[in-house]
Formats: sequence, structure tokens, C-alpha cells
Amino acid sequence: MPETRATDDRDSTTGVNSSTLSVLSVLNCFTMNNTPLSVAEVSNALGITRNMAFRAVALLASLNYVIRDASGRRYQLSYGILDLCNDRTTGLDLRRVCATYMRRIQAYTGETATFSIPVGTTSVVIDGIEGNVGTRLGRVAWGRALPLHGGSAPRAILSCFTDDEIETYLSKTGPLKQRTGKTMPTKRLWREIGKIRKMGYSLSIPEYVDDGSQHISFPIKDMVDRPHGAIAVSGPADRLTMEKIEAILPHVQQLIAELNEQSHMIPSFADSFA
Amino acid sequence: MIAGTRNVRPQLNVSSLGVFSVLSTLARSDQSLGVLELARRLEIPPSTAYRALATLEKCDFVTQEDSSSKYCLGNAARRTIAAFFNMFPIRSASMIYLRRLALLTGQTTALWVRIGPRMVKIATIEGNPEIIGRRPIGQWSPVDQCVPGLAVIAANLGLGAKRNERLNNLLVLLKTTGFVWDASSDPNEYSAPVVPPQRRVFASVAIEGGTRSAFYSYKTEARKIIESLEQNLASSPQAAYDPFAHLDENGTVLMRLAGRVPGGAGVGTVAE
Repeated sequence: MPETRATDDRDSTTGVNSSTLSVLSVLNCFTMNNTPLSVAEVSNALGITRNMAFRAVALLASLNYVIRDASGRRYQLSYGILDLCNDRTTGLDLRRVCATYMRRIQAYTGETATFSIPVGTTSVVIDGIEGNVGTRLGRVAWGRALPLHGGSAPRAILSCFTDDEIETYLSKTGPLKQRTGKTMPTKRLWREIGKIRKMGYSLSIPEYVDDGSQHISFPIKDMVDRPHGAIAVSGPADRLTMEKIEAILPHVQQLIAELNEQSHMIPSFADSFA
Repeated sequence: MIAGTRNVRPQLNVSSLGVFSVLSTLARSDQSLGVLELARRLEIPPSTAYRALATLEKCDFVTQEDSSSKYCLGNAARRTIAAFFNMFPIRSASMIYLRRLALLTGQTTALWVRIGPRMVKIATIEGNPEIIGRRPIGQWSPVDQCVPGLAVIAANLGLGAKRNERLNNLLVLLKTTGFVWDASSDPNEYSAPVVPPQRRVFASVAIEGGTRSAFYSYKTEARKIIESLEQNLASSPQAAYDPFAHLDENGTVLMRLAGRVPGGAGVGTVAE
């Protein structure tokens, strides 16, 4: 039986236990590193004494949260972490999680937020929250299916597929007709895919939009970057201007990053068009 | 080991252990919990539960729900779980093949890995039918008490290994179909070992559910998908890295577990 000692090292104002905070920081340190760590490496990484690092690692090892690695000189995460697994951490309802973030995005931007998923060669809107100011353009088009080249959310989804998969999609789809009746050149689509992959979001292309709307869409991915779908922020172009988009972008990207941290736990069902 | 502490076991912090008890109690619950309910379950004063939650919340291991005063696991806990699963590169390497198997069979497919005496489910792709009592990711069973574990045992049985009738039946199933199953498991589960380049099998793929006749209709195609996964691992050996191989380097734990597989009836036969 490990020896234990009682401590009273809590912050008197908040009741937070400072030595436990230290242990949790050490656990976070193992989480953030991809490689096993020695006590010295933990101590250096967190700027804590070797003694504190040693005690923290010992406590985590007693719970099997960490274990010695093959070398015997370092520690790595271990099966005690499985104690933290439940349906809510590993069997997340993606739609419910996206709804939480769409509410926050809608509250922050005042605009309509929608969630679309890939279904074969199309993108289908399956959920959404309407913007504050009701306009026809702000309505959520539940069930609307668009080809994966035909809109900012579909293209955000398409950008997550591999180049080979996109080539397969293009070979099956034929001319890339848009809602306006115009056809998008294939080269233009590839340029858009490149931009989306670089910037992390997709904008609607004015010449292919016929209803005065503006959209910005963010891919939602699993742990191997397969697409779950895309979250779009939509509104009238005279209200959701490029200036407004630039202003809202940092906070919305932060919310999307938080959402992707959770969606990474869920494997995507996206097919490969084969 | 820090100099001078080689033979000294560190004193473990009671209050820190208590905080981790709160964390695992929240994790085991199927719903968010408030301070009073946590205190009741752990038989601790509410003030102690509150301080534990405050500590965990500060590091984002728990979070308070917007709409209530209840707590659930936070992003730091999710990241830790994700980091644990990411220790197995075979997980991401297998996803495409699990997906193909789920499409082929219409059943839920899963990847299990061995950690010492346990088999742990680390990935799953849901199939079409509802699986009653399905085991989510992170669930574990002793190696000798689950079909994915029996697949690993069978694949690692050496020529000189002691075998009883049940183990012999496992080997026959594996040789003739590429899968093993247990006649007593409900729902049906069919598991194939994933043989990595180093030949020391630590992972298996399971197809959860479906009738025996349905299994026979797709087993050849399913076997090809698993062989494609094995070929992928052969071309990228780092994807077959087992971070817990050192827990049973000589295979003695596995052989002991193999010896525990009871003899006689239980494992299915090819005729079934």
C-alpha cells in the first residue's frame, strides 16, 4: 500500500489544491508530448522542481495514468486513462456537439449558422440556427443537397478529401455547374481547394451566388482529417461584408478549433467516391 | 530516479488522490453530476467535492455545463484520452479498412489492441443495425475472455505451445477462415488478428453482430480487406508500433493467458 500523506496546500480564496494542479499539469505535459518523458524532462518543461515532478509522476503511476516505457528511464501515458472513457467522451453525438458551437457562433455573429455533412457526392444541411434578423437569406435550408463543388460549405468538405479522391469525384461529376447556371473551371476549383486548405475556411464566390448571400464555412474533421462536415456562417452580403468577416474570424476560428478537438474523437463516415 | 531516492517510495498526496477519484466518478457517470451528488457517491463532504471540482476545472479536466450547475469531463480529459489512443499509429492506419469492413458487412467493426493482460477497443466504425449493449471505445476485457483476445492468442500460439481442445479449435478456425469466434458470445462477434511485419500480433479487428450464414457470405472479402491492412503495415512498419510491447516482451503473459482458456466446448467450429 503506498504511503500517503494529508496536505492542506489549497489556495485559501478559491479552494484550489495547488499540488494537485501540479499533478494535472504534469498529466497535461504527457498529453501534449508525443514521446515518453523522464522526470527531469517534465521538471524542465513545466519549470517545477525535480522533487515536485517526481511526486507528481509517482502519483500518476500509482493510478496507472502513466507507466515506464520500454527504456525504463522514461514514462508514457498508460491504460489508467481508460477510466476517463465513457460514451460522452468517446461516443460523442456530433450533431449535438456542433449544435452547441453553432449556438455560440450565432450568438457572437448574429448570423445564421448551419451544419452540413457529406452524403456521397453531395453536401446536405442537417442542422442550423437562424440569425437574429430574420430574412429569407437567413433561413436554414434543412435537407438541401448541393454538389460538393457547389458552395462554400460543400467545398470546405471537399477540401478534406485526398487529391486522388477529388480526381475521382471530378471524373464522376462532369462539368462543375453552379446555382447561377455558370460552370466553374476545374482549375478554379483546384485553386479554391488549395486556398481552403491553407486558410482553414471557405468563402462563397460572388460570381456563383445568385441570391445576394455571403457564406464562410469551416471544415469539421476527425482525427485523421477526414471530413465530418462543415459549419457555415451565412447572411445577406450587404450585412456579412468582408469587413465583418475579418472582424469575426479570429473568435469564430477559435470556436471551430475547440469543436474540432471534440470531433477528432469521432471517426468520419465520409466515403471515398469509389 | 532522482539521486538519493532510489529506495524511497514517495508519499502520495491524499487530497490529490481524492481529486482523481472525483474525476473518475464523473467519467463513470452516464450524465453530468452536481456537487452534492458527487459528494454523496464518494461519501465526502460537499466542500471537499467542490474544492476537487474547482481544481479540476482550473486545468479544464472538468467543465460546468452552461445550462445547469452540473459538471462533466472537460477538454483536457478528452485531449488526454485522444493522446492515449494516438499512441497506437495502427489506429489511424486501420480506419479506412474498418470503414470498408463496415460497408461490406453492414455491421459495426472495431480495432482492439492488447495491453498486457487486457484487450482494449481503440477504434470503431458503426454499422447499420443497432447493436444492443455495444461496447464503446476504451472498454476492455481480459485477453482470454473476449473474442478479439482469442484471435490474438491464436495468432501468437507457437509450435511448442500447450494446447487444449478449445485452443486447437481456435487454430483450426483461424487457419480455415482467417477469423475466430466464440459460439457462446451474444451478439455474434468475428475477429481476425492483424499480423504486423514483426509477426508479434497485438491487434485484432472485430466484426460485431450478424448471423453465421451472413458471415460466410462475406468472409472471403473481409479477409482480403484485412490482408490489405497488413500489406499497408508491411510497407509502413512504423504504423505497426506497439507502445506496450515491453509489458510482455517474452510472451509469457500471453502464454499464461492462453493456458487459462478453458478446454472443451465454447469456441465455434467451422461446421457451425
